[in-house]
Amino acid sequence: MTRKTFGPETLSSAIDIILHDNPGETLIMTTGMHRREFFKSIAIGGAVAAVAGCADKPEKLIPYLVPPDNVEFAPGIPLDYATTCMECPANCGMIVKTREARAIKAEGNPDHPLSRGALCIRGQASLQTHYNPARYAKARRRGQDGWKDISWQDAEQQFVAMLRAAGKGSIVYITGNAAGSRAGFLDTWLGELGAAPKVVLDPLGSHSIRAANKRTFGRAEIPQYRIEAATLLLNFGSDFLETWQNPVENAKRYTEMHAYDDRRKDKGKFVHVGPHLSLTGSNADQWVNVKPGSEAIVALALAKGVLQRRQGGVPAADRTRLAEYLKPYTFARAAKDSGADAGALEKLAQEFSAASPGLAIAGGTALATTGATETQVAVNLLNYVAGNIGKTVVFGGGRQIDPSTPFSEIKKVVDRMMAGEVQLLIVDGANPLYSLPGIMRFSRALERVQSIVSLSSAMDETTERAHLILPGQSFLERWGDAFPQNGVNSLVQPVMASIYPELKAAEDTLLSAAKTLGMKAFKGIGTYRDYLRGQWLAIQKKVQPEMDFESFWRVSLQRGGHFSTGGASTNGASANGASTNGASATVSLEAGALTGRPAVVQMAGDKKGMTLLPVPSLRHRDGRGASNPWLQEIADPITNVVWDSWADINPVTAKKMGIAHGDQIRVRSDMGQLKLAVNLHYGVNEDVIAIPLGQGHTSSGRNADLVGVNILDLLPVAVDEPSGDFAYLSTRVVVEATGKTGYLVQTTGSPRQLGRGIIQTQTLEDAKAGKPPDHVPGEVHGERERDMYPKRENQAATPGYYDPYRWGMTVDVDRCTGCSACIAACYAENNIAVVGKTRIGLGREMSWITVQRFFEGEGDNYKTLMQPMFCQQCGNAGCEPVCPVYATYHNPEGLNAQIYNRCVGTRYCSNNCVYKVRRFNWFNYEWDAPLHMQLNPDVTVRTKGVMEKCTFCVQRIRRAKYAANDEGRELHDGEVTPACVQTCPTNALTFGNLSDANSVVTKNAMRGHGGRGRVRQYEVFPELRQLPAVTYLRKVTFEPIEEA
Amino acid sequence: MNHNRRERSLARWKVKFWAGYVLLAGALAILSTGILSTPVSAQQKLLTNADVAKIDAGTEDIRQPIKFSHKIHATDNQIDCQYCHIYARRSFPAGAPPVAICAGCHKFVGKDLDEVKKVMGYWERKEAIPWVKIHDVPDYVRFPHYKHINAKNEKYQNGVPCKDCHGDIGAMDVVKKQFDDFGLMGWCLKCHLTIKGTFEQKRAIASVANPRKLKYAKHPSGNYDRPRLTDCLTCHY
Repeated sequence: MTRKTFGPETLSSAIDIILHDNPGETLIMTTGMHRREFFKSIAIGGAVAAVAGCADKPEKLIPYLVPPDNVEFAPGIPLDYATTCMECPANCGMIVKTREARAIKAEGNPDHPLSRGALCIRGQASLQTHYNPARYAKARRRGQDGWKDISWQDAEQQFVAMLRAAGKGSIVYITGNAAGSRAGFLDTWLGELGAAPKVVLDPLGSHSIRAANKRTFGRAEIPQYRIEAATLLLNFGSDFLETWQNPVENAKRYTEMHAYDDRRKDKGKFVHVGPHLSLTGSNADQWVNVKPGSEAIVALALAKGVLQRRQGGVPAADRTRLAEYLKPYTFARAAKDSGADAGALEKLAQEFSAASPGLAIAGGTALATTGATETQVAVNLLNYVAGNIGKTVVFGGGRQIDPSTPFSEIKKVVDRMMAGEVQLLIVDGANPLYSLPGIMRFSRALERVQSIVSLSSAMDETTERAHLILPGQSFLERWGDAFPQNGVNSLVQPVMASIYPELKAAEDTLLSAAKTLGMKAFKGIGTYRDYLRGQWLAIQKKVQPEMDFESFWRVSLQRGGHFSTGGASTNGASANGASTNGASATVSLEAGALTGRPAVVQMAGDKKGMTLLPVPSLRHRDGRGASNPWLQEIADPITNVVWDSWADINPVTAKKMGIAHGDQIRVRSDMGQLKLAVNLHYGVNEDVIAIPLGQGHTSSGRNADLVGVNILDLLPVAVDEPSGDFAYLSTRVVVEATGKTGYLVQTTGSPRQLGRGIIQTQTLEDAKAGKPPDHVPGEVHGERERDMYPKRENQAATPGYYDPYRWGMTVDVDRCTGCSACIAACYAENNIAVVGKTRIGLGREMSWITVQRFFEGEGDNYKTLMQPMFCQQCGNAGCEPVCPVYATYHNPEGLNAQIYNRCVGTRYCSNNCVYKVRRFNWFNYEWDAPLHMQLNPDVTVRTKGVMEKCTFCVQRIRRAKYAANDEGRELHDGEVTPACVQTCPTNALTFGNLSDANSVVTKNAMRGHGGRGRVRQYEVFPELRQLPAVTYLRKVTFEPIEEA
Repeated sequence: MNHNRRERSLARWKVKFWAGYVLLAGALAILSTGILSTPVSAQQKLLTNADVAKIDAGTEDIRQPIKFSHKIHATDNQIDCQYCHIYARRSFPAGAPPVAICAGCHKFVGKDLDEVKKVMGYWERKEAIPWVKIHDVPDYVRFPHYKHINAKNEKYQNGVPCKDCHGDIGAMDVVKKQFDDFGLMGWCLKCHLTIKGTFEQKRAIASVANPRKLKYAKHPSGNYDRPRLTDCLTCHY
């Protein structure tokens, strides 16, 4: 027996000395035996009975061969590298923390002017894309008898041979990423071969915005939407908090506009116009439920209403033209076409014309029809008549948020492939076989291509069909850059050596081929880094000519790029919208703006069915995040579904059809059929069935395959003609019950609060007046100040507690959008296991932080409330007194410590936890290699039989304390930031020291910023006297929300 | 008849009752082995001196790959510990000496010795030397070497000497654990509870005890303690 569960007797006696006046007194049970002694004897007795004297093999101590020459490097010390997130075309700034030269955590880069220190759920989870088990380790070639690993030199030779064999103009290059200099690089490379420019595949293109802006204002660009400057945001279908453009930037701007602030004593209003409430729509203060495809009519009717009500702002000539043009678009017509209430629309027009300024945006499902450009033009006109152009819609920012090739062009390429005109297809980080509609028969097109080369780093459907794979590197291993907007030059640098050192980044593979083929354009350029430096030399000449290049390069790498404040960036853009900060182009109404005659977009397919609304997924976007276990495991914030696709159907419709929640249905279009489970959701139009995109892979690795369905298989090839965007909202489908029950796993308990007051709301008037609600659920029993025990805050009675630190958090529910980035951050920071669908179905999910979601009301009063819930670190916790082994106890700094090595797994604590935030390890969970390389060495990996829960990232507190201790001081406010707080795009969470009267968290929790005392502040379940260290701030609503 | 049946059923019930008891006891035994021992599987076995004796005898597969003598290096040749253990003053692990450091000297020194040839063999093959860990703490313990090496307090003005925890390694040809209970929590606290701290807050916390009975705790000597260190979260998270 070498195992010793607890220390030798010296420990007991030492602890007795320190803990008690009379050693042993408090620990004695009624039987006369120490509680711990009792368990200790059981443990040792049991262990002796089971195995006698089997020792683990001693560990090996593996030294470095040569220590890294970076002087800052030491094992155990984290090093941060600034880079840029490449998970989607938004390209947010990112700082990657590395330990022992492995990337372990991604955080937002505070210097980046767009994302401003935050990351979304996909950015947080990009680490798992990097450590994807489905990545290729070696070059591969398909032979007669299947795949064979080949050496990199062979692979490159064969690649060059294929390039030589392919005729001029018969090479097609499809990529999923064309950020920054890469776009020019690829085009130059292809140009040298005489091939057509690259094809950039992104099913969520926004060319309709460009086309419409060209038509309305003569500028084919995506403007900057200054949401923060608006007082009324009218959102036509876009999912701007999920995938649309830059969701992190949008969320930041949106919160500035929408969040209630004691200093401003006001908040803006957000109205969602569309057929479906996904996460973004669920945040809206008002939902205008319209039929899909009728958004343009609604926008024009509103424009007419605004034009009538608003004097000035529009040049007189335009006014007459517009009045003439808008004449037929009455509220009555809009109401008839859209199914919305005419009175409500009129009221909305009134509000929008009074807004100073307002903002109407369109995107997502509104721009997913064949009338996308028309809809955007209509919304442009609405903005124009309301005088928002130049105020909240700013042109001239040079936004390059979407480099994708229009779908109409892609279709031509596929036609060429079908015709056998393509001899060599190169795919690079794109998956056309999955992301093009099944009816396009891309699979057959692939058969007619002589050779297919894949430069993708991980397995996917298209790469599985390649003949030769030269796997590329993930964006954490390679060089690159991105220019999402003028003045924002963002750099991508390798943050660690490649997991598979034999491989090369796609760009370097291309350069190597260029060298062999003797391309002139790349003469003397050895690596892509050299090419990049060449490009950045030009940038330096432009933005900082006085600096020498090496310093510029070094500083840029350190900061994550060069961000100039002179451009039309958001730096300094304040909440009141006073500054436009930088060049803003003035635009006027073009003649072509008033040529269209939009009508309700007609959907193909069976008239009797329902309109099929594919929804971009918060977690998987268009499908590129599907092989990422965290993104599968983290529940969708609205439906709380994990590891699956689902169909949102309105309960009213479902009742008519005889479908119950969770039933399996068959969805049939002219193109095919699918089976999936139903989620009943009041937030969907009665004529619509909404299904998320991004699932249903067949060969993208074991975490993605056979999870859910690929809705693209049901879609016809429909295009918005003026822009060439793919219209994924274009067909009606027949929905019928199969008679079986689907296997839908949801983490939710009850969809309604039932008066429990978990998420509380307050009206804007009350918040302004500083009036707390008269009646708060849970406080019906009245304040109970009597207590048998002294409070821990009482220093005299309980010395040592909460001095100098008591860690606490505040959650502003009015700011929380439910984006779930905090959950992904927590998974990454705390080594939380992924358990899969079956076990979540058994209630065994491991997530330490969840976004709770409750619905209130029905129909038009339908409201969704969301807030994060995690361990409340109670001052009077239920978990602590029931632990038989003191594995959980109240720490002097106010944390409910959970000591894994003490825990014996009785689960009493979880049973007694009021907030149900404790998680039990039912098994030893594993991380598929190389996912285990992401594990945070500062956090113990828990094993079977151990309870775990949120620790307020105690490892970060410890680290910060060590650092402060080195300098002989106490911690500053803001020095410790837990992972969830760091990544929150809306700053809904604040963390700090409640014992410090001046800390931000104390202000939020106790006084409010106006110094008016607790107005919005509440604790969950106050009647249970758990005294949580987490204070919630009520959501501020325009209309009172009654808890059903 | 009736009576008999009742008798029999009672007897059967008794049997069931006792069987239940036996089962319960058995289940408890199994549970205690299963539940009580598995959760601590993160615990590692600490090498005992008996094991080290086996290493010494070379009978086990845990013998060191090279017969490295700390005595020759640290005592006879007066090489400072931190010349080779380069991360001790900067980080959590002390750092097993990189092979490059071995090679740095042994390119020139002792080239004809068999053991040195082995070292240089590793160096030339670009292989790391797979040393066997003797002084190990479990994975759920965060132990910062640098806080100890740089400690400054009543007892240690210039940091804790390595040998206060690791024993007199400099005198050993084969590394053994001089303190049998090395790495056990009580052993750590034995020292920590008796040293007056200067950097650590001087606040007495009985974190694992009944919080209602808190008192400023004092060492029997009436002198001092470093009570924050009895908070489990100091090292276990």
